[in-house]
Amino acid sequence: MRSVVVVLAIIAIWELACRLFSLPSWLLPTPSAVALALAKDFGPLMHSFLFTFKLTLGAFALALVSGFVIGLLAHLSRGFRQSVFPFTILLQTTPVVSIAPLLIIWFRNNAFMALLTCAWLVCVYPMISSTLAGLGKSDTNLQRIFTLYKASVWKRLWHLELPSALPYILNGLRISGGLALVGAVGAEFVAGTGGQELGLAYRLLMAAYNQETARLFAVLVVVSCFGLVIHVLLSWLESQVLRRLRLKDSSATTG
Amino acid sequence: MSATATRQMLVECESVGLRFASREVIKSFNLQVSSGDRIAFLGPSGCGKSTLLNLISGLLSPTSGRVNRILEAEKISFVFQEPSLIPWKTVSENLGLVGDLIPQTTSSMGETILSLLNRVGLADRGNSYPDELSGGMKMRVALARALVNSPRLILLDEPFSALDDVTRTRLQDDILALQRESAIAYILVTHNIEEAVRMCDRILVFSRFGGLLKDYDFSSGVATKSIDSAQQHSERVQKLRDEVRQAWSDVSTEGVLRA
Repeated sequence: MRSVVVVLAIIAIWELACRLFSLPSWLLPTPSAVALALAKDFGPLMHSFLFTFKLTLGAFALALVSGFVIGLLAHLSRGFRQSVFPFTILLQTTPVVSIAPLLIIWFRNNAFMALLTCAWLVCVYPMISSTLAGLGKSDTNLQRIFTLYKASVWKRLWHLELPSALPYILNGLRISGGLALVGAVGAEFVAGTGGQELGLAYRLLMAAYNQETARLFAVLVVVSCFGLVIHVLLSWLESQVLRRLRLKDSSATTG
Repeated sequence: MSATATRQMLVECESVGLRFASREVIKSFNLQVSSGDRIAFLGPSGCGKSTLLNLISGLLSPTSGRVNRILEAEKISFVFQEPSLIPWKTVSENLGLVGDLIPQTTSSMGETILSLLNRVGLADRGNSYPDELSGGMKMRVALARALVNSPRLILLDEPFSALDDVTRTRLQDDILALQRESAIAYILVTHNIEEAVRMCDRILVFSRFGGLLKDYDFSSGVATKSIDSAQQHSERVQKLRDEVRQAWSDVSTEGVLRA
C-alpha cells in the first residue's frame, strides 16, 4: 500500500515538474501524455505485447527444462560436471549481442527461433547453477543415513535431494523469469523480427527513432508491468511451494 | 574389552588408520564392539571421534588396517547432534522413510512406527511436522527413527550437546532404558566426561591429534546396567577428570576437556 502511495506521489511530482518548468515533451513527457499515448496505441501495443509474451514464455520454459536437466546431469555425473559443465559458464560470460548475428545466419528463415535462442541463452544459466547448487545442499546427516542403507540414486533424489533443492531451484526460476523478458527484449533489439511480427522492442526503437518520447514511455510502462507480473507470480509460486514443504527461502541463506 | 560368552561380537577394528592427503586422522585404532556394549569416545572437537563412527559404520574406508563388520549395515543406526528430520514429512513419514530405504523392514511398518512413537512418548504426534515440535521432541523422533530397523548397534554422534539439561537427562534415560531392555550396543561420541560416565561403562579418551590416550573399562567383566549410585558416579567422574587432565598435560597444553 505504501509503495502505491509512493508511485502516485512520484507521478504527481513528475506531472507538476513538467508543467512548472515547461519541459519539452520530446525530453520528458507528462505522465498524462504517456497515459494518453498508452490509450491511443493500446491495440498495437497489445499485439506487440503478445509477441514478446510468447517469446518470453518460450525462452523461460526452455530455460526451465534445459537448465534443470543440465544441473541434474552435472549433479549426478562427475564426468559431465568436469567435461561439459564448464562450457555452460560461457552462457553467462558471453554477451548475447555477440552471438545474435550468428543465430540470425543459422535461423535465416525463422526469426522467432533466432530470438528464442537469444533469450534462452540469457536466462538459462541461473536455472543451471541454482539446480546444481540446490541438489548439493541436502542435510549431510541424512546423506549419511541414505549412504549407510545403500539407497539408490533415484531414492536419494526423490526423498532427499530434489525437495531439499527446491528453495534454490525456485529462486533460480524467479531470476530466470526476469531474465527471460530481458533476453526477449534484448534479442529483438539486436536481431529484429525479420519483418514478420512486431514485438515491444521494435515499438521502443521506432518511438526513439521518431523522438515520440510519450510513446516510448508507454511501451516502457507495458514492459515494466510485464516484468513486475512475472516477478510477482514467480515469487508467489515460490512462497506457496516453500510454505507447503515447510522449507526456508534459499535467498535467506545465499544472500 | 570384556566379552562374555553370551555376547556376540558386532564390529572389530584392527589397526585401523585413516589419512586425508598428508594428514593422519586416525592412527592404528583397535576396538571390539559386542552386543550390549556401552562405549564412549571422549575427546575434544576435531579429534576424529565422528570419523571413527563413519569408519565403524562403513561410510568411510580405512587407508590402513581393517574393520570387520559381523552385522549388516541395515542393523546399524545413527543419531546425530541435530535431529536431521525431513521438514516436509510428518513424524510418522520420517520414521517410515527408513522402511523405504530398507525393504525388509516394510512389513507392519505402521505398527512399528506407532509402537516406537509410544516408546519415546510421542504417540499422539505422528501426524505433526518437525517444525511443530520442540527441540527435545525432535531428538526423541530422531531416536525413534534410529530404532525402526531394530538395530544392534547405535552410533550416537553427540546427540545431547545441543539440548538443555532436562531434555538431555530425559533422552539419556530413554537410551539407557532401551539398552537395558535389549542387547543393543551403542557408541557415544562426546566431549562431556559426566555424560560419558553416566551413559557408558567403557570410555576411550582421545587426544586432539586423533590418538587414543586412555581406555577405561568400568564394567569389571560384567555388563553393568547403569551407574550403581550417585557416589560411584562422582568417584568415576573425578577419577576420569583427574586422569584425563594429567594425560592431556602430558601431550599438549592446548585445550582442556570439559566435564
